[in-house]
Amino acid sequence: MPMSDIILDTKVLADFLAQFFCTAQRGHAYFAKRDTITRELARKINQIVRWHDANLIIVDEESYPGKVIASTFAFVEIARKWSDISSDRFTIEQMASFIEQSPEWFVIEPVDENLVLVFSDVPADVLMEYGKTRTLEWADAVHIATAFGRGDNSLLAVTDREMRRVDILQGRLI
Amino acid sequence: MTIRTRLLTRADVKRQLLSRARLTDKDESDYTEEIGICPIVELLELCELIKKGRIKASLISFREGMQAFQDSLVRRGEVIIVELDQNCLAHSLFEWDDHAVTGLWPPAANRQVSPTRSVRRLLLRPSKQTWWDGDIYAEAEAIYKSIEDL
Repeated sequence: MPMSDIILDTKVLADFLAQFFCTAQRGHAYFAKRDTITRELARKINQIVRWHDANLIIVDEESYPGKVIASTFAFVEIARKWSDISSDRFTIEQMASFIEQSPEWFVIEPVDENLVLVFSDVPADVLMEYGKTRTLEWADAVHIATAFGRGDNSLLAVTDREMRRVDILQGRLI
Repeated sequence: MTIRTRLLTRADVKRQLLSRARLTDKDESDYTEEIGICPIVELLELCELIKKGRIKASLISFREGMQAFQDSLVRRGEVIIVELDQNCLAHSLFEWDDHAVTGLWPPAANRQVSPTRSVRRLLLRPSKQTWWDGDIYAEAEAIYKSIEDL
């Protein structure tokens, strides 16, 4: 099984945190299909969490499933739109604790100089299905660049319609 | 001896990355008493402005400029790129009372503020973690007060 990290955009990250601190019991119970978490995404996250739980001592590299990833920028976006995005599903203290000590299977990727050149590869515009060109926001481009930075096998969980139209992401959306 | 620190503005970064006269061959023996503080967001924004055609330059020249910037000023320690990493996020995004989180930090956690400005504020927020002299945060606030963000 090839390793494939999953990168979450802002809205998916918020829905992930909502489950993490409630029904998924900080990874001790299963993530489920809800809001922007699709059935396939929940299955993949559960696979990653269970693998890391089972491989704390003996690492079976052959079956390594990757990790769940979010950019530091996604947390900033949640904070900027706190009331709308968190919707009282998790607290500021819970988000702070997650950032301070995230699970072993979750990586908070920096916005750093390595990201800059990858960011320059992300297109400025996308062609929508109805034939019109739309601008890709730079905030969305950061999530895409974060996915590029995690290698060719990484997958991207996004909600934004423009992001889903980026050519080079086709086949990598989950 | 005190080494001064100086904020690299968006204009400085543009000049440094896109100017033909950028410093790439400075003699190793040349000495500087000043360190430039470059918030990562200025590099991303410059790239975005080029991508959107709001600055006339090619992405190739941007990439070459970025590479030269890293290989010269950054490598020599004359410029520090301030990055938004997990540690910075943990300390800057929240208000703290001793070791307890008491809320989000309003200057950044505010949808009336652009994402660029939020990130810049988080990067430059004065704290026990910041080591540069002077009030670079206040300097940035003054400079970008009337400049439109992306």
